[in-house]
Amino acid sequence: MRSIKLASELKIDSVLKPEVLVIGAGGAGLRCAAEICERRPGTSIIAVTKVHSPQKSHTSTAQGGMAAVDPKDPIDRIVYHMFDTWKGSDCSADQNIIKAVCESAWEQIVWLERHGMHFSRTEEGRIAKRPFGGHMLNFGQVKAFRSCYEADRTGKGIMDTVWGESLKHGVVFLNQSVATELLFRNGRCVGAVVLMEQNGKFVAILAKATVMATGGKTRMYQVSTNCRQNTGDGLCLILQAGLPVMDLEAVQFHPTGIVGPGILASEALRGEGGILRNKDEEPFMERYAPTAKDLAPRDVVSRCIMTEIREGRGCVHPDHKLPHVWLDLRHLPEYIHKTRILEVCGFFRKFVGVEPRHELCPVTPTAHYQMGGAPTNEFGEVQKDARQIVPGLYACGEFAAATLHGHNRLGTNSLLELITMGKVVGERVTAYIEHAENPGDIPKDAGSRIFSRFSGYLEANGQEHYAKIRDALRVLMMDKVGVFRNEKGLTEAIEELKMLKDRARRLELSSRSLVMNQDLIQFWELDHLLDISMVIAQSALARKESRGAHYREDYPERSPEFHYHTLAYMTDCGNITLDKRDIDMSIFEAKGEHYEKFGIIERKY
Amino acid sequence: MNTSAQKNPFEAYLTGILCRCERLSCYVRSRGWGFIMTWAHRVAGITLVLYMFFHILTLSGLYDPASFASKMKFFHNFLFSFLEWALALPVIFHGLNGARLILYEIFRVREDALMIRWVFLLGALYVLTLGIFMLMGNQQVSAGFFWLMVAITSAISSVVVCKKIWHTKNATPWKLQRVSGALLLPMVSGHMFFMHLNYQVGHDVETILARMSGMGIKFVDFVFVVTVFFHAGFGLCTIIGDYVEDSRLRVGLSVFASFVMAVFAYAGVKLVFSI
Amino acid sequence: MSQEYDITLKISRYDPDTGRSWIQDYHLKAGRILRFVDLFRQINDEQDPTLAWSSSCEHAQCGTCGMKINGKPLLACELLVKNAVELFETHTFRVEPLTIAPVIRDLVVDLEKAYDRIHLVKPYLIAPAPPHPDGDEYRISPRVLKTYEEATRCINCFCCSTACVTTQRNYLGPNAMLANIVRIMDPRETAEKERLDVLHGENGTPRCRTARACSFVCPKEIDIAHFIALAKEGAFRRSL
Ligand SMILES: Cc1cc2nc3c(=O)[nH]c(=O)nc-3n(C[C@H](O)[C@H](O)[C@H](O)COP(=O)(O)OP(=O)(O)OC[C@H]3O[C@@H](n4cnc5c(N)ncnc54)[C@H](O)[C@@H]3O)c2cc1C
Ligand code: HEM
Ligand code: HEM
Ligand code: SF4
Ligand code: F3S
Ligand code: FES
Repeated sequence: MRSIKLASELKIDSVLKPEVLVIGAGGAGLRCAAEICERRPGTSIIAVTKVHSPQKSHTSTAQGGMAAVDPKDPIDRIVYHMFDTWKGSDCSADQNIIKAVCESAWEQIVWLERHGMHFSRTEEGRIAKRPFGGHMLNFGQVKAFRSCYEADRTGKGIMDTVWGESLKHGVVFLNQSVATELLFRNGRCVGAVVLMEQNGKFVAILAKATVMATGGKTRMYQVSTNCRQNTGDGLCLILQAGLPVMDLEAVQFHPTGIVGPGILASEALRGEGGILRNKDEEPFMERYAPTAKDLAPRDVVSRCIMTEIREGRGCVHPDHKLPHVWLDLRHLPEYIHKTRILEVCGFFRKFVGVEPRHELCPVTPTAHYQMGGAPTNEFGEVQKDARQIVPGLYACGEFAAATLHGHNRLGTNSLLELITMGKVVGERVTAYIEHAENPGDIPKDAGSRIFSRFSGYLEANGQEHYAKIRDALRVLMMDKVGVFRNEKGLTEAIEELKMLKDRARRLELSSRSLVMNQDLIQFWELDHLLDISMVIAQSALARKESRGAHYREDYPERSPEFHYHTLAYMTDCGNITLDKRDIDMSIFEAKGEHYEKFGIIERKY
Repeated sequence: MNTSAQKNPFEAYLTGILCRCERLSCYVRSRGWGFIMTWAHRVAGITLVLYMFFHILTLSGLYDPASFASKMKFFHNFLFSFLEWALALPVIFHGLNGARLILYEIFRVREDALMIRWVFLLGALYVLTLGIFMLMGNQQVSAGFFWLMVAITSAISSVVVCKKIWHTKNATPWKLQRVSGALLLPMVSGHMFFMHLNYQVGHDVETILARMSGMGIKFVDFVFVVTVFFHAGFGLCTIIGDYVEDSRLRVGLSVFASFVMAVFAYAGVKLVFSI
Repeated sequence: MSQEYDITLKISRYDPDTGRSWIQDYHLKAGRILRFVDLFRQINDEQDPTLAWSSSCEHAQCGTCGMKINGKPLLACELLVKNAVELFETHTFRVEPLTIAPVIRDLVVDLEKAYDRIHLVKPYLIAPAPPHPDGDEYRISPRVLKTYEEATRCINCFCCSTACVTTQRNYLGPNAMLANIVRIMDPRETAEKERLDVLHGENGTPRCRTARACSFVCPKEIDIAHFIALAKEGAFRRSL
């Protein structure tokens, strides 16, 4: 079938011409597709996804819920939600986005509900809400019931709903296909080259508008909650096209990931009284945060755990060979185990074979979410620098940095962003394709970049082993570009990344087939992981302050000097140019009601 | 993980035997008991279809009583008696298990593990008593009374099922399959039992012919034969539908199976009314 | 505490380039709490990079990694070595792809084809009921929700379809049935007639033999057979 002898055999097999191309059929991408179809029935849309079916996208794993304030709610107010988001972001979110997202939140919840999402209900049959970390009433005073949820599978509910809607409107899906190169003509994005893994064919998809929603990228960390596909492909496509990425240094770590698989062990465990202990079973959080103890904010707890591990008070997991601390749930009463934390404890039972009622549970900070991404304006149009946009190219979801989260995301705000920004982008795209010109014929050099890359892999005859480089990278990132960063570590990391990149050029390919050749795809992904890691490290090195999830031991305070977004360009690995983008302060500047809460405020809980 | 139906000692013994067969135990572990019961149901159903072919063929001998008698003599030995007894296994298993399926599907009885146990228990009881009666020989039970009871029970059970599912939107033949099943359970188990309770009724030409000349019996046998062949015919068609993907071939095979069934049903009906 | 097992995996392989299929044995040492996906990764890393298998979330939430292990359809990402050893009482495991669609390579099946059957039942509200007069969400009592909530947990891993006695040729499959039934039970759906036609059509209820293997294997512990039986009974809106 498609076994390649010569790299020169690589070619584009066919050309597809939908009106809209959606790269990444996750929650955000499909919400956008559904919106376009609703506004303009009959629009031809192709959605590309790396996984076997859109339903397998990462969005399906989100559990907690999504925040939204019902405008008719007697006690909660949208402005509280806006404030919490701003405060949570450590004053680096864009206020125009905060306003747009928080104000349209409820509308989007109702949209989902009408299209079949199975929200959990209150006694009156309305959508139930629950409290979540960082969401408060009265500007941070008491916890708010604001998170709408579908039991422990909110993300799955969203995914099923938007996938169903897209199907209903006849969106065409290319599953198990990876976007490998963006196509441009005269600065306008006109589509992408896609490799269909199941038959090994490259197709060029030419569209009036291209929406990118390829999600997160934290697989370069040793322990990560992200799914296997999240290797930063989308960001690399952007970088390779000479476009910038924004705020990549902001990587959120969740303090309690289950050792090994990295599965999220919800904050609820500590909320119910779980205690973190080190090797000697000492409840160490008492030392670091005498009042809040185990319930201190995510980033703080992550740092404390890492300190314990670094100072030799962590344990090493006998099976996974990873450092960790213990989460002690043994003392919790039986009924709490039975009623409130049954599901999460189930993960410990299922994945590490530990019975939380009698045994200590191994946990470790786990890379969870990327706050940064492709810079976009408030309509989701991708920017080529701090001001100008790229015509025809849109982004939404975790992939895009609009940015609602700044340097730290509040729980439940991400799912909210998917559906609100997905809709905004859908609206914008509909308007754009109405009058946009056809993309025309396939650009002459289409595929040239990706073919030369793939030729490299196919012709490689080195001795290096993919897995060794990957593992080295993951350890390196966790160690030096993880929860703690400092000048020395980052500089070393950058050097090591360069070395790894060199080694990655001397890989050995086991099979030259193009059909479902995991090895080949992994090489390609490894390149991305290395490139993105490089950007993270460089951006982190440049940001000489601590802000949100980005923590510099050598600069532990936030500094007004760095009150901007980092833009990074990188055409080939290591060759980075940094730029800045202003943080939007429109709510503050509008001087409306409560504007003073949206100034540069202290982030303290 | 779901529990399999093994608790009491009798059952533990039974499942012990079943599990010794490697293939079976692999399925018990990987698909559960229900899976095996369904396969067993299917195998029993097909066995019964084959038996019915054979049954109608031998009964056709009644047109010529002399040769029928000689044939009966041929079958009258230990081996065939044993086979006759063994036939009770598929009969009662398929019947009781069919009842279990009907209860699960349309009467919302969800204690499936318990029902499986009852299938085994009642089935074993039936087979044992039948065996004992076969050994004991003729009992001379009043035929009229017995058949009246069976007919009434069959009527009640089929009407109950019919009432419960007739209003649903299920395909009509599917519904009839359940209704016929409900009718057949008392009918077949009773029929077979009776044929050994009064041994002559089942094996002696004169007794058979005398019995079959009664109008009531004619009617019962008529209903019986029609129901059996409908039930079996539709059963075969669903099995064909499971395996044959090509729709033309599928329709062709189903028509063929139905035709064969209709021929046998016709032969059976003709037999009832021409004797 | 760390205990290692000597594991033999007998993996079904298929190479689309040559059309060859064979069974390959891999011997490895595995910690007791490694998942089967970790074993495959280990094989890729240390023995054979060409072995293709699929996964995504790797914590039993997406349904990508379904496969048959010693005949049982399950999620490879939630099966720990020690549990497998306990469950099957052996250290040798036969690993096969699911039998619901053609194999693309090794353990990767063409889920797209399998999904065609889900598409047939339209996994969305065909005609949503009008919204609440207040303009916001439709009201659904938690008690009504409870009657079908369990069925909304399906992640379309196709384990049930593989386990079912009915072959996948003409049957929609338990999960597609479930996807249809959920939406008939959902008070927001008004296109009941259309749904019932598919449900009771030739590829629907008549094909289900209540073998309950689907419920037995479902990694989300959904009692699928119960829902299909409700459908047969016509009891979608059960008395509460
Ligand atoms: C365990 C966990 C729990 C979470 N809980 C919550 C929560 O409670 N509340 C909350 O708000 N957020 C939560 N999040 C975060 C949230 O789930 C994610 O941010 C969100 O799902 C991202 O959605 P997305 O649509 O942007 O991307 P994804 O769902 O990741 O979709 C990306 C899509 O792009 C495709 N893709 C990627 N690369 C390519 C390529 N090169 N070519 C083609 N296609 C490609 C992928 O296949 C996929 O279909 C959680 C995250 C995790 C990991
Ligand atoms: C004794 C009373 C009987 C009852 C209660 C009964 C019940 C049933 C039921 C409920 C089914 C449907 C199974 C399903 O589709 O899930 C069935 C199938 C079937 N029955 Fe019967 N049946 C009886 C007697 C018979 C007889 C006498 C025959 C043969 C002559 C027969 C042959 C079949 C066949 C071939 C099938 C199809 C099996 C399959 O689909 O795998 N049954 N029966
Ligand atoms: C081995 C035990 C059996 C014996 C000895 C036996 C004997 C007979 C006899 C003598 C008749 C003639 C009619 C009558 O007397 O009423 C008859 C009819 C019939 N039997 Fe049986 N039978 C046996 C088992 C079965 C079984 C297991 C079935 C069902 C699967 C069955 C189905 C029928 C039917 C449908 C008729 C009516 C035939 C017709 O009308 O032509 N019998 N049987
Ligand atoms: S019903 Fe269960 S086994 Fe079947 S696809 Fe859904 S989750 Fe998988
Ligand atoms: S296993 Fe199959 S037969 Fe029915 S009950 Fe489940 S779908
Ligand atoms: S990989 Fe998602 S369920 Fe196994």
